[in-house]
Amino acid sequence: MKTLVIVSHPEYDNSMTESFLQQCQNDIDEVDWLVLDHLTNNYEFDVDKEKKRLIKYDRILFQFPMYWYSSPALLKKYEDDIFTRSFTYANEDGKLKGKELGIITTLGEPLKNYTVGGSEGFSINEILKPYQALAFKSGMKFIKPFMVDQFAYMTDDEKGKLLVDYRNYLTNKDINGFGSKQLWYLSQLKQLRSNLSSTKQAKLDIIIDYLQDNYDRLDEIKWELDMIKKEED
Amino acid sequence: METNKWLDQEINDLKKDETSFKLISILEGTKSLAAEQAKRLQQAQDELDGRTWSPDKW
Repeated sequence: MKTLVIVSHPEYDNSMTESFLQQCQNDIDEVDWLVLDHLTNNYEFDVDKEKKRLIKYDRILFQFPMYWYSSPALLKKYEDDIFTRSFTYANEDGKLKGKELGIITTLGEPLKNYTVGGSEGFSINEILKPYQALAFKSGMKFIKPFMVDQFAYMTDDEKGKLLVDYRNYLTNKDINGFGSKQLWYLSQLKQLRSNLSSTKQAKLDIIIDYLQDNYDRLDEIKWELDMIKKEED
Repeated sequence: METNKWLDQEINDLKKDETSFKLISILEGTKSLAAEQAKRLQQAQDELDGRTWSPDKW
């Protein structure tokens, strides 16, 4: 699965959050990272080139800081220029059909404030509706958004969890399922193996076997339960 | 749970002297994954026992 992260951030070069997220994924071959603020300095895009770029990916992610409940202007300009009717409309031979669209947004306020009755008054799901509508119109699957709130206040442990969750969001084919999450971890651990000493590799192999065994047992019990439920139905 | 104490210790051993934040974070996340596996295995086994021994089938 190929993923494109399209970043829009007017202060990209000074953003600690963007720098951290960039480093979280810079070793992953299947993920490409496009910074719109580096792509243009006059708000103009090479439309054909960008269309050709987008069709290469299975998962397209818009990443931006929330500016007045929307993206920075440059991402909106990118949408307006590149997502033309013939390229986008699913019912008119659009080229994005079947791909996934996801939003990664960074928030200065705590995420808990984004709710009915909260100090922001609206949920993130409500605020992101225009992107969901774009996905709908283009026949893309809108995947659940990924929020990073108050990065500056995060502890190292929280940043570590963010790194793992972010990589998972970029590369896991099914971000909702626990089965898929287990397989994703197994593949990550196998990739890390070569960075360790031979003694540690042997230890890691035992852990990988243990996790795989748990995965198989869970799968087996789930199958048995499904059979029983079908009989009881 | 005993098994996860063993796993947590093994992961702590793997993390020792490592400097890569990516490596350390993924290893640390593995502890949570294993804990979730253990919880789900217990729940699934309990449900299986419950359904297998349902009084409806007596």
